[in-house]
Amino acid sequence: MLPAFAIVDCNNFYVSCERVFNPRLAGKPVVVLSNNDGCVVARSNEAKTLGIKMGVPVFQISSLIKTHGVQVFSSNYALYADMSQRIMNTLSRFTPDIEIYSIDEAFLDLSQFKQYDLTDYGHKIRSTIKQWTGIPVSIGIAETKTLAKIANKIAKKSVKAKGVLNLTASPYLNSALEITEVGDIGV
Amino acid sequence: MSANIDAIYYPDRTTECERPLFMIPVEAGFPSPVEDYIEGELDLNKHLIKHPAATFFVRVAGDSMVDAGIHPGDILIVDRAIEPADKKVVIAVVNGDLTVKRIRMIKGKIFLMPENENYKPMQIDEETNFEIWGVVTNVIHPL
Repeated sequence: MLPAFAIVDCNNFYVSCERVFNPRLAGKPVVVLSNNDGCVVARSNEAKTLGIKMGVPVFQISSLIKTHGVQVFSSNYALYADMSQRIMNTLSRFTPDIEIYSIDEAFLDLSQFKQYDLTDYGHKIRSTIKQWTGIPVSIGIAETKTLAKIANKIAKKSVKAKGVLNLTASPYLNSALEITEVGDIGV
Repeated sequence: MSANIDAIYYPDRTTECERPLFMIPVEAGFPSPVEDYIEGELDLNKHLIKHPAATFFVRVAGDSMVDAGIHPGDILIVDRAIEPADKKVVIAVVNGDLTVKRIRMIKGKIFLMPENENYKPMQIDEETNFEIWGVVTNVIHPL
């Protein structure tokens, strides 16, 4: 039987962490800056829509910040590490096989759960993480980790997916491959 | 309704501190020999935090819940893993503000009830930007 992997990726992680403790930030453009407040390292969807790019030095967008009332935060790594730990602990309730991939991403091996509807399982994981920690996540599920990553990328953008895309035994696998560039490969 | 949450903290779960738990009926009378009554060790982290990944501490700022025993400056233990239900004390987000109130769900309508006669209940309607942030399980109040 083919394996099944899910990658759980937090949406705009640092911004989402700030929003848990400050609900007034919902719906507003928010950015989080790198150490010493140099560059933008996290953006809310609203900030992305304004055209603020990842890694841009903050002085280059000062007029954008002023015009659109962009909320700017210094990074608070103690907070992000705590929230990350909460998310990983919560994820480990859903499978014994979890590989923490970065502060805001983890692969889950769901092969032993293939008798269940993995799309439903993905939605259960997503709603539990949201309720317990307040952090929105996107989940891609597929038979390899690379395909899971592609599914995740589409899940993040597709309104229809509601944050979860399962490409195991999916008729959409080929079209998913056609429309996606695969990240994290090469340099 | 004014916001009445001062700050949110996350628990330090790295420490353990177990103290003997004395199962004595506490009366303001003559002290009894207690050795026979030690029930075991009690660690407040374990006793008060059932879901560490979902638990936060919140400091209270207002007095709208004094009749529920929640005073300004008290620390609330908030467990987001607990499903909100009628009559639970919750932290809610109302139009962007965090507030602590008792939730009532009556005939499909949601009310946030203060427990202080100087404050009025609030009905949550379609226009209210409303979300339940977490369920309050305990209050830490200095005597």
